[in-house]
Amino acid sequence: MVDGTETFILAQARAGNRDAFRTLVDRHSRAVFRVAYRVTGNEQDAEDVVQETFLKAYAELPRFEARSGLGTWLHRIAANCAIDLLRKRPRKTISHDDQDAAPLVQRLASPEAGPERQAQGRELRARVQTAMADLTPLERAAFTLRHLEQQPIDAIAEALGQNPAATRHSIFRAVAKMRRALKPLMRT
Amino acid sequence: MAHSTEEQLVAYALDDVEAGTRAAVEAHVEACAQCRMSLEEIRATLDHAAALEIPERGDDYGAQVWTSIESRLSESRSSEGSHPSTSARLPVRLMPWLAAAAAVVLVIGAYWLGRHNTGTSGAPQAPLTAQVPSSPPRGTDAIRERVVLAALGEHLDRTERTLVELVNSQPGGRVDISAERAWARDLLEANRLYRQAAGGATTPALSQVLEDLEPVLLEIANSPSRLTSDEFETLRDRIEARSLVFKVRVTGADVRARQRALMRRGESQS
Ligand SMILES: [Zn+2]
Repeated sequence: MVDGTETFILAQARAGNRDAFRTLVDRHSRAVFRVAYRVTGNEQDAEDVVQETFLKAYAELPRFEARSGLGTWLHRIAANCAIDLLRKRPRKTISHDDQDAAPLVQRLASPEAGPERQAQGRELRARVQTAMADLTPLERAAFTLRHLEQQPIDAIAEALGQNPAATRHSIFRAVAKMRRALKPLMRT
Repeated sequence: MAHSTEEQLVAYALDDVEAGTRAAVEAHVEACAQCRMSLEEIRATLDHAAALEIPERGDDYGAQVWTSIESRLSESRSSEGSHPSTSARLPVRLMPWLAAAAAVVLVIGAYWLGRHNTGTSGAPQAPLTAQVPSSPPRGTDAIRERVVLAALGEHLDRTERTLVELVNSQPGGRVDISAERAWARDLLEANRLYRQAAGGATTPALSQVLEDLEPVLLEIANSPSRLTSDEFETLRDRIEARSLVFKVRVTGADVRARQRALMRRGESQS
């Protein structure tokens, strides 16, 4: 939410006040990192994206229209920076490793939560990460902004330079791919 | 009955369907075990994705980010687009006399450097030197100095008038500061231009005044057009606490004195 203080700080930052911009960096860095991490899938890339996002935001700030909150705007920039970064590099190949999947699910379903189960939880998370890594940058970005940031489709489409139908389809593909990747782990 | 498509189910789970589709999906899922299971899988997938662990960043993360970007900030704002001048981004509304201010930005750096760096060898280079095309011939130099001083004097005069009007407004019920606010908005842009220009140069007094002015102009520019008397008094106190009117007046007088000295020098040379 944009409160009165933030409006004031924002106006100062737009007018070129660096201390004001620094305050915005302070306030938003962690949230921007989370978006960056979700789209890039690793810490080092996410760090690069965070820096890139704020440099870009500083340059674009005079053109920022407060239609959406500053956070929302920053997260869209971050998603775009992440896409750019991922597109610049050759696609990583990720090895799939389906062994033990089914037994794991059965054990996950059991009620006790001992160390063994925690280890299984880690494996499940690793699989989610792998599934995310298999998405295209655009799919990851669209999915992140929609499902995890709750942004409206039209706004995401505009931010990513797509039409809304294409954005819907990117999001659908992201979910469908992850569903297939996680299916072996799901209790049915 | 036809099954729901995976696309419909995903859109439904993400709450991206219109009311009609929603009702249809709900009715079908209610009746069809297979689609119900699909929807559950989709929801579980979404939950797992949301639960993805993200490395924590500490409270000082913002400070770390700032440290890593600070030195690159100025290039980030000035290198955008192909226009070297800030005037390219200024709102049209402000153009007539701000254009003059922007033009001054290009020569002001040369002016302050030329005037003040000659005697102070240890003075740091102003970042604006890069923007100054080439060192102009003597006669042009003098004209430029006069342009700069005239524009600065004008800027300080306007600012002083705005502040004086504001400080002298009578608080009684609500105070209408819409006129001052409009002035402050315009002055703010100009002030920023002059600050950039004078920023790295060696005129502490002038730089300081321009710097002190900025937050106050901002506050006026962003105030509601009608203030309660409490709000107004807070604003006035802030202006008075910094002795801004006085500083602006003194600096303005200094600028005009330099302007006169320059004109005398020009007359004696010709
Ligand atoms: Zn069905």
